[in-house]
Amino acid sequence: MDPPSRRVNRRSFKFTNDQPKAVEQVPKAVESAPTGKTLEGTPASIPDGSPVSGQSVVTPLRNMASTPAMTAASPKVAASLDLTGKIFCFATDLDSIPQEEVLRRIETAGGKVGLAISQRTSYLVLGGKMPDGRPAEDSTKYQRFSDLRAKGKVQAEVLREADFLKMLPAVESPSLPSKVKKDVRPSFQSQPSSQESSSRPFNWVDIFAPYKLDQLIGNNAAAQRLTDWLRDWEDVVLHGRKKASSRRENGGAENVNARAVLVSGPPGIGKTTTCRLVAEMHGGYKVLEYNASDARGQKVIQEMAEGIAQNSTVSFSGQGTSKRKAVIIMDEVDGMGAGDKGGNAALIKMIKTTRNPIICICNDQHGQKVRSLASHCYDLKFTRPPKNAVAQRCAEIARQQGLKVDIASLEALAEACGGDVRVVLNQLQIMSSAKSFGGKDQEVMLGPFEACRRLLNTAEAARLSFEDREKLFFVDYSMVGLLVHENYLRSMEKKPATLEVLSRCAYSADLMTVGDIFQQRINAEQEWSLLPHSGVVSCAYPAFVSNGMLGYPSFPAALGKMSSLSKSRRQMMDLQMHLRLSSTVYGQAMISSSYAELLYRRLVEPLKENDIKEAVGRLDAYGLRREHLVEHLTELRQHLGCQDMFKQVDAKVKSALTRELNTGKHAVKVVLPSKRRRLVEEPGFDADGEDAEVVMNDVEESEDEEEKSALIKVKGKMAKKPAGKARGKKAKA
Amino acid sequence: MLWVDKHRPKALEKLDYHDNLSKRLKAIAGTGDLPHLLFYGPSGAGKKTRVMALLREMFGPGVEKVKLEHRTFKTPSRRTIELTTLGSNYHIEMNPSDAGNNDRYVVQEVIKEIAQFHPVVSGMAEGAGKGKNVTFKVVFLSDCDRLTKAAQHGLRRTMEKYVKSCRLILCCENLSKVIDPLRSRCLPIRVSAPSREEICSILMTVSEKERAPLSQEAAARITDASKRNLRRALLMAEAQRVRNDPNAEVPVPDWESFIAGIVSKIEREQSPKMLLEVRKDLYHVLGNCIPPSVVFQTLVYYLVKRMDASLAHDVFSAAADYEHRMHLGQKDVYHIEAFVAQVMLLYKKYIADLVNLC
Repeated sequence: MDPPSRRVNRRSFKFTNDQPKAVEQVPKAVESAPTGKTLEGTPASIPDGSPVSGQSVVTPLRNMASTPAMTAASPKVAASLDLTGKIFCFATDLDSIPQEEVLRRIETAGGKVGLAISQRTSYLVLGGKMPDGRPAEDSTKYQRFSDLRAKGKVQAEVLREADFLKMLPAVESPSLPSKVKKDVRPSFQSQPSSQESSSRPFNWVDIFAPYKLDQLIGNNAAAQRLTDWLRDWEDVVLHGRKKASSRRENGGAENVNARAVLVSGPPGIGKTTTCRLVAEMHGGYKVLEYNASDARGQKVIQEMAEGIAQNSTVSFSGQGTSKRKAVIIMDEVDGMGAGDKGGNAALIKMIKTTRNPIICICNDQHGQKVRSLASHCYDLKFTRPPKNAVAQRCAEIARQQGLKVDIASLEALAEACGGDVRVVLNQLQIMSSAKSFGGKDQEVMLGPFEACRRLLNTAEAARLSFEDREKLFFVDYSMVGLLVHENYLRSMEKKPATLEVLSRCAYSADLMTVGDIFQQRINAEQEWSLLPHSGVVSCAYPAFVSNGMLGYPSFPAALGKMSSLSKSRRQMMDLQMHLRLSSTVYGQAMISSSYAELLYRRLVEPLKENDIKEAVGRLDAYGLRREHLVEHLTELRQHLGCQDMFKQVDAKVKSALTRELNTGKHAVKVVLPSKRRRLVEEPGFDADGEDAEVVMNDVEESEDEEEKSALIKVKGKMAKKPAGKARGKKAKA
Repeated sequence: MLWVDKHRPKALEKLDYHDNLSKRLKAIAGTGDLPHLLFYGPSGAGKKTRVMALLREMFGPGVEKVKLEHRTFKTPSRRTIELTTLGSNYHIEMNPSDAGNNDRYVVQEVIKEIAQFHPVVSGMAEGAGKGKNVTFKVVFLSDCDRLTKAAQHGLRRTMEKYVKSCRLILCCENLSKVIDPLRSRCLPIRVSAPSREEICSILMTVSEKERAPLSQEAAARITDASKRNLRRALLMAEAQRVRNDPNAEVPVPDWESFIAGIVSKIEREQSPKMLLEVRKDLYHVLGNCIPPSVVFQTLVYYLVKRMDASLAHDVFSAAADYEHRMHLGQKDVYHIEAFVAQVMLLYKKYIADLVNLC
């Protein structure tokens, strides 16, 4: 080994530049470099820190704090993080951050940037490739560094870009304002894989935010006018050289000489971005942004206005004061809500006296909150960018991210999102990340029938992983299970009915009963966390066990049957309600004990013999009406194919029966609320309604038929009256 | 009126069988107070008849002055439930299981409502003549084994809290579906099915009253077919009467022969295709409002009757398993179908074994 490298070893860092491994170890070295002396005393702490620094997300600051031995050993640790006295030298420009930004940050932290390698240089940073595409190692600075080091004249450490960035944000983050995002320049060209993305925003919206004016989509004219206004602002406002205002189409004069501008337009089309860019590009101003997340009450703005009115210094970086003037961007002025009482009025007042340009941004310039403001501002409207422009930009981004999307669907997406670039990009990103776990998009396009077909067709199902099958369940979780149950037997139908086939069917059926229990729990107890399990048990696994040939899955009969079942249940309950007064038979037993069957026969049999009086008497005894005989009882028998005996009755007898029952002589023991009334009924009328519906049952089994019907007649009247009253009341109301 | 309804005894003294039970009920009524009661026993044994007779004994004929009320309940989730209750001044009868999953609210609401109003006619029941101060109202819940578990749990505190002003009479077929805490709070009263002789003699008396006396043999035949279900026996007797042929074979109900048809299908062929056909039949049966547990029972009954005895154990065990699952689940067909598939498999295995043996 040559002497220089031994000298490096003295600082307990074992690396030589020739070994790429050594470069990887650099971050540890960097962390500990400021506390080099302490480290020399405790060499054990280097391996100590190494597993932690392997995590790219954890910043060095946290790393150090998490090593108690080190914090205890040197209280200087926190302070030592500033780069005071350190001199950086960049072999090439960085990929991920604009160079100016880097300079600013290093200066903030107290470091300096040297233009050439010298003895005092502490770090040599290798950035991205050189403009001609050669690696940073080929750069002249690096070559010189290597030479000098070989002669033992320099001791600088070599940092890769990633390592450099790791130490940078830790220094920067405490004082970093919330608007870092705009400073980040995308580096997708060189490194689409975002290994070191921890220091960069994750959202495409932030990564691909435009950083040049010509990257803006649409609204070029508006941006141009904004630029013009800002350029001439000082002349117009401060020096009083008024511009001639151009005419608008509708004849009104444009307020080009205003002290403030009001930018309005729908969200997500780049208003804020444009304003910021325009202000930055002008160069003469610092940008000062206030948005809805800042307090903007009357007081705050008044204070701000005072400061600005004096045109005094505005401090930005915390290091000294800047003499430059500021553009104040008041974002989301229509969001100056409840907490910002009086803020709007104060803002107007401030505009009247301001010596700095003010840009206000809002969504709706006709909004009540903004209207008063609008009259003091130069009005600039931003419109939605054309969908093809959005699509083009998105396609570019998608291409850089390795996502294949055709421009037509992007246009459709842009249109669906209302030209909101932010939404479009978010959607795109979600889609691209979804892509990585396997063609979700395709499944969304699938219908439940197709999903079922795939599950149950052996040819297609064989290709599916178990996970895919479960995903197919989620195509429509309420349908696919039903479809599988309906069709699993059909798919097995053609196979020879061997023991194996049958046992598969039995197993599937068994599984689906468990799935049904899950489903019940989900419905009754809202335990939706069971849904995936239910998907496995009621759909994926049964279909895995038994599948075969299936042309097109048939619609689940269970759905149709359910409605017919509930209809017959309803009829049964209806009947039961009437029978309840005189019978103990309850719903469950009515059919199974053939009660209904016998009742039906007993009612129809006299009719067949044209004995209407007897039939009506029997109906009356139970308080039943015609429809119960003709509809309820008849239909309840039909499910098992019993014939409709009522059809055999002579038509004359039928009409005679109807006439007789309509005379009003006959008992209506139970009046069920009809659907229509229930809708109109108000809670206040409940008492009336109940009286109307209720008729007392006579206690004694009266032998005398006439007496009974008389009684019933009276009751019938009683029953009708209150109902009428109630209706009358309702009409008044 | 049908014979079953016409000849139902109304007073405790007139009950035809379970004399011991009648005496005990009478003793309970005599004290003028009631514990919570839980009547259980098979369908057609006379549970409701006894409950009504007991109430009449306590409150006098006033309990038969009943009226129907349509009540609407609001659940916390703003759903309205409609329920019909049947009530007199002294009691209220309802079947909360009609409300489905929301029966819990119904049960709680009704009991609280009743508990709020002490009966004005404080049981000085005219006609009862007992002169006892009855200060409570009776809530009669039929089919309490069909209540959801939540409703049953909701009942238990309520029935303790409001015990001063309301007593519960529960009625169910299957005691094992009533949760233990409820059972422990009630005095259970078993109403077992009447014996064959009892049914026989009742049939004879009723038919005589209807001036169509049955012969001893005919009555015995009907008794056999009724499976000791008195309601069914009376209905069958009347049906025979309608047919004017009291000596003919007692026909099984349509739905039962239909299920027998399903069983013979299972026997004939065990294949997915046949299973599909069976499913269709099952839909028909269920659509006919035959309770699914009855379907299970009948299926097993015919299966065991027709198949080899060595299969019986497995069939029973499968039926018990799937019937239980059915009560936990919601789609009855799934469970019956799974049972049928299981039986088909068992039977096919059985036949295959037979062939191998030969």
